[in-house]
Amino acid sequence: MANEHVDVVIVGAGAGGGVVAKELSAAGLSVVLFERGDWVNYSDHRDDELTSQRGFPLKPFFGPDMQRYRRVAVDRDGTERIVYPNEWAYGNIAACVGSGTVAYGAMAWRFMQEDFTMKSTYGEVEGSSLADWPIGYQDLEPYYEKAEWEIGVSGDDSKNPFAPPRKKPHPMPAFGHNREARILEAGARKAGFHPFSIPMLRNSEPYQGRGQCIHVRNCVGFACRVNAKNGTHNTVIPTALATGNCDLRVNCKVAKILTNSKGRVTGVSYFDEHDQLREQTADIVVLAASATETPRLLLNSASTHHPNGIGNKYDWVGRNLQDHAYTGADGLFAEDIYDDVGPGASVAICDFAHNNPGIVGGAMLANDFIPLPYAFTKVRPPGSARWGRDHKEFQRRNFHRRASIRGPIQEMPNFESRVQVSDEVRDHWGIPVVKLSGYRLDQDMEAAKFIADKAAQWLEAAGAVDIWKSLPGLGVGASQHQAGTCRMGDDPQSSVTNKYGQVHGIDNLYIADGSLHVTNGAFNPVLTIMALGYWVSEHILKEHGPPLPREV
Amino acid sequence: MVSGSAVMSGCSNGLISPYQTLTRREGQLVEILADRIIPPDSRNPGGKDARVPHFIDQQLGKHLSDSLEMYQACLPALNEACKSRHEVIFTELGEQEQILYLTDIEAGVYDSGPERRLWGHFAPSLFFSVLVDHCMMGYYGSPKHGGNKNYASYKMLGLFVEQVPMRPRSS
Ligand SMILES: Cc1cc2nc3c(=O)[nH]c(=O)nc-3n(C[C@H](O)[C@H](O)[C@H](O)COP(=O)(O)OP(=O)(O)OC[C@H]3O[C@@H](n4cnc5c(N)ncnc54)[C@H](O)[C@@H]3O)c2cc1C
Repeated sequence: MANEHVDVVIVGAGAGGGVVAKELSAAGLSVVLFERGDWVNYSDHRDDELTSQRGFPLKPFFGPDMQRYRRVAVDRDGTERIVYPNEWAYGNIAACVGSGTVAYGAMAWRFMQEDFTMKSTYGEVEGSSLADWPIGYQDLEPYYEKAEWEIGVSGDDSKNPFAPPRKKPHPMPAFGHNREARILEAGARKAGFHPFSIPMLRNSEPYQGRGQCIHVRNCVGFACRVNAKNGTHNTVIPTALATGNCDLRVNCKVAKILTNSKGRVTGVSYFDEHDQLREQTADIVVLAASATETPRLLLNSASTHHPNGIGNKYDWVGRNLQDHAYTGADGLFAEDIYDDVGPGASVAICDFAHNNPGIVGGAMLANDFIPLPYAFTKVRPPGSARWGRDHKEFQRRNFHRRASIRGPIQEMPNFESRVQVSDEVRDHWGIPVVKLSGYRLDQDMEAAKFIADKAAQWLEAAGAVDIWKSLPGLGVGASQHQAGTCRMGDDPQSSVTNKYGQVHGIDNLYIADGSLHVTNGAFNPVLTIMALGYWVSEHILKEHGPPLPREV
Repeated sequence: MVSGSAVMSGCSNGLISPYQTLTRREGQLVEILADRIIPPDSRNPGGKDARVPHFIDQQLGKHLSDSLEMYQACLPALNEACKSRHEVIFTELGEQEQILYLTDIEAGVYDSGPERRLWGHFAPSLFFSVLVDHCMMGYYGSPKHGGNKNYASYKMLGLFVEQVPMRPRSS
């Protein structure tokens, strides 16, 4: 039976897609929200570190599955190999209702003003396709606020002198610190830095009918035991469903974007939960499948009108793939600093996010989430024994004595770091898979060294006795913070969408996920993706929607 | 369910393997290796008693099945290649010599030289690093995958399994 025509199809029920589904269905548009995964529950996963979304040597519990999904990773020397969702080279976020927002660490950063104007702040960077965003912080500010209040953030910017201006405070008070973070906070002050409590998409007090955080250690990588972590799966998506206007179709894999002879979009084709190929027509299609899967869909939807893939007339689709080159330092203390109060990350500084002499960009720095026991086996100073008596002794002695400071280096976008589709490898449904290739620039390494030094300095001031730094590799990153592959811009010849996420030249095709980021900030990206979801939705409603419902 | 290989090994040895994927002989070797990699001591169990071999056995038939071929090639090689420098096979060495031998494998001493061919196309040092990683998964991961008996490693680290909710102090 054919599906009924709807106003809007949204592909992907993650961070961006969840927000758009709520905004459009609440405004009265009929929406079909496609998600290739399903709902997930805490009780099906519990404390299983080996399948957690933070590091998944056995398999990623939050998807995608190991049987039907694969990708191709291209090494620096051009060698191609097939990679699976439990390998870092795959570049996995998740595949479930809410996607990464179910299992994330929930840091809720607003980008700083400079993060939107990287080119004009730092000038030309050799080898980079660096550009300013077509919108500025002030454009997105009201939408950050909306994300903070509708999805729920605990924080207090007044303690962060580098925070960008805001109109309204966070809806919930900031979290306090566990023993480790209190020691680090004092150390940061001693070093002359400006520590504050990380804004978090977690409830520091009951909010919108759900309870408050209970501070377990299995937080990042896991669903929340008491539903106190806020993602799209427990906020905007349920709101969208409650309008009666949003039909969420789980286990449905969108295969192609359909276009007519004029090149306009008419809907999508998809494999339903029984793997039957079907079509869903719509007036508008919004792609929110993530910065790796959205370009894949565009490239896989070539037609006579769009011979190189949709939106790809000037070869920008899939280019400028960015992530964050994580860098920092670990430190061991002479006494126990661990008190088992999760999730661990709570103290941060923005002193080195920008304006670092001789460096392009920089990073926010924060203490790390608690590493679980298996992950801790990889936490070792260089040259340490990996096994035997020394291994066991290290675990016993230092699990309670270690702190780590890390930050997401803002990578410089480059044209060669990219998502393509493979000519040979296909997924379970016969669809060409994502192929990832590229590299990081030397500039990123300079920034990483600088930031690692600062992390070490912080640990030293806090009293760590044994400190070692860690630097990222030069290979392309495409994992949890993937972004940039369909950048927005004013010039159709050097970007994929306009500043509203509307694909250049196709008035009824939009993008609303991390693909839009021109640059990826000195911060974790999710609040910016959510804010863009609101921003893009508002424009869709202005151009295509019914009159906005008036507030009574 | 007893898999085909377990039944066959049971027949050929005249004994039933307590393992599903590994043969009885392979399993015994993994037991020794698990104890060298995570040794027992007066305070906490070693790899064998924490059921690391059962984790490896279970996962080689499941999520880690890509490594099965490597184990099948490298376990007998590890045992035999020992002869060239230590006169006897690995299982007949004393504990200290076993540790020295494994340290050499880890350092790549056997990655070239006359015994290299015993290992097939897997470098000995690569196999050893995979084995160490699997032992760590088995010792520290959730018991639902077959290892970490009674959360032995969580107890070792002083961690409650089901955490009691706590509040951080406000800053
Ligand atoms: C363990 C972990 C920790 C993290 N911690 C943080 C943090 O602390 N702070 C932060 O800012 N960010 C964090 N992130 C990153 C954050 O989750 C991502 O930035 C965010 O989810 C990306 O949003 P998106 O909308 O671009 O894509 P996603 O949220 O990934 O949404 C894409 C959705 O589309 C679906 N999809 C893809 N292709 C198809 C198709 N063909 N058909 C149907 N559905 C499809 C996917 O299954 C997915 O649900 C974390 C991520 C992980 C995994």
